Amino acid sequence: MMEEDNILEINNLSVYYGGLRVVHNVSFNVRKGEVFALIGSNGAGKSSILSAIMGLSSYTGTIKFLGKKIDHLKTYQRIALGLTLAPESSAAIFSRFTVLENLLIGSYLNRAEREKMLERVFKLFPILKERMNQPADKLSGGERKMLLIGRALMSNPKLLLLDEVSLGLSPLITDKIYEACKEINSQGVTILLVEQNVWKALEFANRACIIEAGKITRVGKADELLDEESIRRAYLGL
Amino acid sequence: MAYRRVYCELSWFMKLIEAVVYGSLLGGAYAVIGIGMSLTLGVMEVMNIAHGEIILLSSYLAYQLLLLLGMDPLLSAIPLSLFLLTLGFFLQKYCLSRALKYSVEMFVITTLAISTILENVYLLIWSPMQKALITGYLLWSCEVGGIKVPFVFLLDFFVSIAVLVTLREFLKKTYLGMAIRASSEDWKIAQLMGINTDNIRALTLGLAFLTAGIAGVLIGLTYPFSPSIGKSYMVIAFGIVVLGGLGSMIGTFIGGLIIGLVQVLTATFFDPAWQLFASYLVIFIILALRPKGVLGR
Repeated sequence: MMEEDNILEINNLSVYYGGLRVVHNVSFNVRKGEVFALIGSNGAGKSSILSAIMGLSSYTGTIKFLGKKIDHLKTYQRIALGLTLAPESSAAIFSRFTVLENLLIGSYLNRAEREKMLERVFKLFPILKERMNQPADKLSGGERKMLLIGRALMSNPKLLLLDEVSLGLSPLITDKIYEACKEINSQGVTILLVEQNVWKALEFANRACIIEAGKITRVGKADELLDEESIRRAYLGL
Repeated sequence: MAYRRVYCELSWFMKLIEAVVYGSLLGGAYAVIGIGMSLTLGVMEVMNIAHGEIILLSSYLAYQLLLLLGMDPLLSAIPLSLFLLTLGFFLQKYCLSRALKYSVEMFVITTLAISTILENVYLLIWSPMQKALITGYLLWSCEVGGIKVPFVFLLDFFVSIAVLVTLREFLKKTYLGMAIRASSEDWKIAQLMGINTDNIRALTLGLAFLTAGIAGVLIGLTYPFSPSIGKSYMVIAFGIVVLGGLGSMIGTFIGGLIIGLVQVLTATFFDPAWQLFASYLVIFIILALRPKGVLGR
């Protein structure tokens, strides 16, 4: 694999909360255009890795985006390069904003394209268009998740980090959101996915790595991992 | 006898109406004092102890411009507000941000230091004597239904409404305003929108200083001022903001009206010395019944 095919390169990443190291010397690459999944149980350190990539947590090691080191950059500078994160918690919406305002603030650094991006988001999630003038805190859990993904898309990212897309959602809504994520990926946006729903994640991803207690224990093609006996037993209960 | 009773009741009623009108108009001026505090408390979640001294800085500079250049205070409000906007921005960006990164307490202590320094500078330059912004229109008044309303009270009220409406529209309709509101909800998530939250904090303090600049000119036109009065402004501003509800511009205006009314009614029917006591008694009662303030979230 050529280095220039990688959109994101993580080398010896250790993430800290306070004085505590929660991720230990993790290394992996995400290739342009693919869906890469970080899989593991709750507390394994998956979300901490996303937080470090966005510059929201302190870490050691190096992170390269589009071949350039971004360790010295602040969060807003990383967003300007084309990175973005749809956070896990539905509390991450701006509850005092309307749905439309939430989307518009997502285009803070991409104001010139905001109409085009709004159209794209409304096409993916028509319910957001119906609810655009409602206060965001009146949305259901699934709609909030859609809003988080839509808002992240408003910056027209090259790499979209998705944190726990299916957490707390019904299977029907989860399917709808994964359909939208496939559409987003087909439009050329690379996706780095963090997910506890291993089945869904491996079905969706091209490649994945398994994280246990802050360390990577396995990296490979998603379909190969899905066929592995030990993974099926540990994560899928099969 | 009956005529005398009717006359007394009418006089009492007129006094009440007059007090309500004066109180409401004064409340407008108080609201301007409170807006800056509302921004720092509501958006930055910190208290700027020097808020009163910044208001006073504007009063003194307007006084100096009037004295040296003969510049009308209403005209000098424009360059003074812009100067204070710049001062607030750079003070936060290069000085207070360091204190705030360390802790909220350190920010408060630093602003306390600024407040003390400014008070002493005012004493050195302008002496402890009272000063006032004296202009021709101080004597203007208009009569509505038998009540004589001084022009400056009307000015306080309507400028206050104009400032509040402009600020509200700015916060609601512009990207910068939305960034301030987003940051007031969650700094971390605001960063994920691509917002440089350090600059937004600096802009917020700048806007707080800008409104303090306008308040300084209005209050300077309404009342005489001296170096030690800044603390009273701060106490009033704090009361108004907490009473109205943190983060609400309309709440700040209502808080200003309540405090203005309470103060004038107390002065009219009891004793002017009890004004601050009565204001804080009302604040205490309202917050005991509704801890988030009148319009707080």
